Amino acid sequence: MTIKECYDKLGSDFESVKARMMSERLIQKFSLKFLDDKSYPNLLSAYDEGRDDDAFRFAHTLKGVAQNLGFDRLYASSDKLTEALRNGKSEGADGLLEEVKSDYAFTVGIIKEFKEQNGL
Amino acid sequence: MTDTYGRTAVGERSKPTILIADDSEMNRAILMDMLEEEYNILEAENGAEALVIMREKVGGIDLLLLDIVMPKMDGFEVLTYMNSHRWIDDVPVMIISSESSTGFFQRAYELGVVDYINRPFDAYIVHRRVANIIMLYSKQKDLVNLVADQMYEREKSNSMMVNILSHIVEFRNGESGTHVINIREITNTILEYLCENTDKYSLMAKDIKLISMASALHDIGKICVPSSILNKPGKLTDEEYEIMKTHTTLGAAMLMELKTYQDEPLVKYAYDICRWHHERYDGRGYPDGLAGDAIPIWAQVVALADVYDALTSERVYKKAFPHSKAIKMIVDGECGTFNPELLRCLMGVSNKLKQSLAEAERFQADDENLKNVQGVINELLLSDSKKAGVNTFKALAAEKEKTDFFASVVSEIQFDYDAWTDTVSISEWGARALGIDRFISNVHFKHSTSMDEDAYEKLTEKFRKTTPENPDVDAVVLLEVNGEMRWHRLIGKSLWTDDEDVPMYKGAIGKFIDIHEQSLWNAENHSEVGETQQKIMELMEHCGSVFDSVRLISGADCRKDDRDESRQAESIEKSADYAMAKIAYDKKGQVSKIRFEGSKIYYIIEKYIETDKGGCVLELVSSVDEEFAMEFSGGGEEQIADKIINYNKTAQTDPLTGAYNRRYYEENAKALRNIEGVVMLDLDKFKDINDTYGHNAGDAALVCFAETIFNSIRGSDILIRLGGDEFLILFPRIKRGAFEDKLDMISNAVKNTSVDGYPEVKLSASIGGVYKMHPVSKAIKTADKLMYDVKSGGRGRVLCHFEKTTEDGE
Repeated sequence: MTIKECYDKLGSDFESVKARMMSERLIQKFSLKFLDDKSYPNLLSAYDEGRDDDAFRFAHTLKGVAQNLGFDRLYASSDKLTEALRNGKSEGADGLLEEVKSDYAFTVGIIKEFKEQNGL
Repeated sequence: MTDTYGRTAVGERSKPTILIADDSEMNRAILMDMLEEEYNILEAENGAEALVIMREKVGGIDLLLLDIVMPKMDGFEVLTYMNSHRWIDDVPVMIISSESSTGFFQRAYELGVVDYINRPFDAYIVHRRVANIIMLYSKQKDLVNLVADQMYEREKSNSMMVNILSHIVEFRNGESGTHVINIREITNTILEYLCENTDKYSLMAKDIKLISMASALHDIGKICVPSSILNKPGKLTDEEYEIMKTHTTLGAAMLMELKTYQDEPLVKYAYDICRWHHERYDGRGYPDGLAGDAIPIWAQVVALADVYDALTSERVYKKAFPHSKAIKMIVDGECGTFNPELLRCLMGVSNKLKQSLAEAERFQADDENLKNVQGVINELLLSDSKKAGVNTFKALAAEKEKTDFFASVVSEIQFDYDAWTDTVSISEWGARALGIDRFISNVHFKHSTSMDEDAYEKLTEKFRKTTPENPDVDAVVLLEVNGEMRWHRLIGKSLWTDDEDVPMYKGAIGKFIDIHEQSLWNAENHSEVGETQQKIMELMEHCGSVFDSVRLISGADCRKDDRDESRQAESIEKSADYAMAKIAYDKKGQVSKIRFEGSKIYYIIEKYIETDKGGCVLELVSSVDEEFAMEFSGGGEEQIADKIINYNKTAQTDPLTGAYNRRYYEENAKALRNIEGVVMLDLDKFKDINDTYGHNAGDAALVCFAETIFNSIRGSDILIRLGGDEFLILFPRIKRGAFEDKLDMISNAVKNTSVDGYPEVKLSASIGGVYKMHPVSKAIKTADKLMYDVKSGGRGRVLCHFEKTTEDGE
């Protein structure tokens, strides 16, 4: 699987990401780096522990990273979650978190597959 | 690196520096990847850290990329801080954002943001925007620097012109250091009087100031006159005189060379004064032979002032004339022809001149006036606002560099707490020792220093209690340093804003000093050692007032310098002489030496001090001043050294008897080792000898007494005259039998001796001896008591006490 195929599988528009980042190398590098990004685990623990402000910030960060890397699905759900947390936890937040969880699992799953296939 | 003006040179960096403040490492990494080829990148993971970095890199950040949603301090708070500290004018800020509401951007722009980068990052757009902003600002910065340089150059040239040139001239002329000041004063006085009494010369107060200032330069042309002519004591030959005369035209020419400043009124006046201060009213002066009012009035006044000052000052070829005589000589035309108008002025200000002449004699080396010259020029050339701006920037950068340097070289835990950001920055060494980052948040500091919570609260409380009037904090805390819990003393100071009405708490600075050893002494040996410790402090305090440098060097290896307990004159920044300290430590005594460094001579004493918890060495350094060195002059370094050591010996010796004095005992008591026998003795009925035969007889008796003792004791025994007729003998390492014999020998010898010149005087001594009692101070007290027992029991005997020891058999 190439990085482009990986993005296709994610349902992302590789060409537009490439146009922005101007380098396939960068896209691959940061996609792999995303696996170690702490904003998702931080979001979960903050959410669980009821630290709503922190949860908002981590959701916001996750959203930003997903947006930069062109992980559109994850970006969309984390964007909604961010808004649901912006002024304290609002009603739909729990459901939105579940969406983020599944989108995150989906995204990371494909990137891991890409990583393993290429022995990276 | 700094340029000539102490300003950090911005242009020297090959790449501009960008600070990225974003809490997401991923985002920072992406931006960094996009930008690192062309820029130096610094990273901050929250707003507070960004501010700390900016504070550290005064003027060194070319662009701040700022995320808004961040922990600790968000982007808006950072912007607010930058506004309140006016950094926003120097550091352009671009915000990184995925927000899109108008309110958001409006707020950001109002806070001085220049542009923004939207998420998702587009490499091309990021590049373009960053490059544009940096270019724009660097152009602006260059312009500011250009202007600053010119302002500075101008300020510098003018004050230097007056200060340095006039000093050089004076120096070469061998004139008194006050000639220039006098000329200014006299010129000023005469001009003021002139303008009060005639409207003929339309001079404003401002002109008078400038002319007086310019008068200081009247002789700068003399720089070009050979000093053989300038300082020739005898009369000049015609040829030499011709050369001497050129100082007028040469000085004027020099001023002409200063092309940039041709339009300065100061330079115009100075030119006239240089060229024409030797013209005469009757046209018989030089260089141009101008007559009457063809000579500018300011040049006429300076000429008059010059003559008056020359007459009233002492010169190589003449003595100083008194004021009235000088005035008379001038008025009578003995020293040239002057404008009658000016002569009237001279007489009008005669009393005032007389007064200032007297004052000048009182405050000879007063260079306050020269400082004023500079001040006036500053005032004239720089508008207040510009000056403040330029100089503050320079001063800040220079200060910063100094602090950084010191912080990087000291082995100390220094900290700087900024209340606004609630962050702590720590000196390099300190951060390493504590195992924490150099810049951390206060909360983090609290947890990572392993200071226990109570201690931390105690410190915080102490800082909280400070006021602008009372900003100092002094506390003792336990800190983990290099993995070891050690007692530290915190010395700190809170910082406040300058607002007169309500000063705001800005933060605090301070340092932690390792006092672990001292504290342990205290802890393990409560009162007694506590006292010892305090005594050392007192001793150091005392020595500090006498010596230029006082250091306590502790540890058997003599490598540790208890720097912070040390008092040191700024002039001596030498490190401790550890090798010598080691010698003193090993011999448990005192060593002294002379150190020659260039033309300077230092006298160093290393003195072993015993405390109940190990020994340490007190280092006392005194720079030997020239006078002192002169007193011992003649001979090379070694001879001087000998003489100084002898001088020290003299100070510890009783001049009458040749025995050591009390001072010797006091200065060496702690270092005296292996003293086994201690003897107190005095002459019986010494008062009667004085009363009956007079003090000379008393002195003779004392000399005889000491001589007799000297003859009975060994070379290694120490005889000390404690005062009056009271003596102390210290016997190092002596057998019990020998000690007893010595005392009897002394007692008999004293009885059999006769006083020089007073054969009728009979001597006897009361002697108290103590054997093997420690410490020595206790032995002395016991011996003293025994001596008094002898006195009350009929005098002239020996009483001994032998401490019971296991070695009693010897």
